[in-house]
Amino acid sequence: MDASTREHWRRVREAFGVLIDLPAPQRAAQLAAFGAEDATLAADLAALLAQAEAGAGADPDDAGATAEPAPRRAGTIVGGRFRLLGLLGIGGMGEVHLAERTDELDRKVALKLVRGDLPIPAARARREQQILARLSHPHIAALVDAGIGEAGQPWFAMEYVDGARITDWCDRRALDLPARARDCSRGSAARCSSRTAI
Amino acid sequence: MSASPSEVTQLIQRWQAGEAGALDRLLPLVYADLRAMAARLLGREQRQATLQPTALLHDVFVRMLGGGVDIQDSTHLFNTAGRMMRNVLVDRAREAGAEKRGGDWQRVDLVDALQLPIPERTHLGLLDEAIDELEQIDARLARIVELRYFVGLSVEAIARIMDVDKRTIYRDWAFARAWLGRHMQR
Repeated sequence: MDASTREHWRRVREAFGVLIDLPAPQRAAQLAAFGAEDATLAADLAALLAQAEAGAGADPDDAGATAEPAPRRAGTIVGGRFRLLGLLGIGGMGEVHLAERTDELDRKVALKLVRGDLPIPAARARREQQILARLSHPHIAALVDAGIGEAGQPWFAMEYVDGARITDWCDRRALDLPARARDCSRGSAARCSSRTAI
Repeated sequence: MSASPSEVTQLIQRWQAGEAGALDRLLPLVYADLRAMAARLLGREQRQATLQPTALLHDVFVRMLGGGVDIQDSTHLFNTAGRMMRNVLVDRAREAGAEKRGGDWQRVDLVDALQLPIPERTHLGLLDEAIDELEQIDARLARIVELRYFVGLSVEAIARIMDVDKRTIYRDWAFARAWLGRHMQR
């Protein structure tokens, strides 16, 4: 196993650990989001999740494997101006919440909270936020606001597009998981970013 | 279970002299000891209880691993046992396969006798190689597979022995199994 293969499987393993605990619809959505970043990773991840699903119960010790609930943060105020309304999804980098401005009602955003335990220096996070702010593309949800939380973890507020969920869109077309990953990686950035805020 | 120390010593000597039957009688005793120790660990409040290997385990470790075996704590003890049991069962399967034509060595009777949760029709040689690869992704994944498949410990016991959150070990175990399943199909 060469170094890049090893690194690939380490990333698959990390993503697997996040997705295995999610209910099926959220899992498919997150898988599609991973596919947008790295189609090979998503394809291997999908295959392993399918394998785990098929083998669930085969081991006599599977009974204890139950999903733990996602953290509840509804009502929390972020950056002094966004109120979290509900969890949209969880990914390897953090959580994406539906949120609204406290000073400007009816303006919904998708707010991404980067995981607190990721060692991202504040300077790097700010630089990324500046780059994002300059990004303007019809297929990428626009960055509305960004900042660094009290605990030092970055957050991003993205334009919230209440379109069809990527999973529903795929279900209508009866796509299997690898196809979903491929489809998403082929530049359906708008559909993905509305859910994942990057 | 209640073999006297001299019987055990005799069994070890006969096994080392190349008598295959001796190992078959010795291993159930080793497993009984290992599982009793795991049960004691689970029953305790303190996490890193220092369990001394029984005289039997100590003898087997010394004979299998050569002189200076210095078991430091229960984590080390079980990791050592897991690796040792893997070697024993894979070697046994290899010998059994070499006797048959084509060398199609698979599960050995011992796996059934010891009630190990290794899936049926598992090719132990391929499993052995796949665990080596898994070890390169993360050594902990390989240790979990050894303790689950080759020592037969529960995931909960493994979490306690490794002093890692139970959920984490369940996730790792699910990943390891899926990964092994796919890599052994090829």
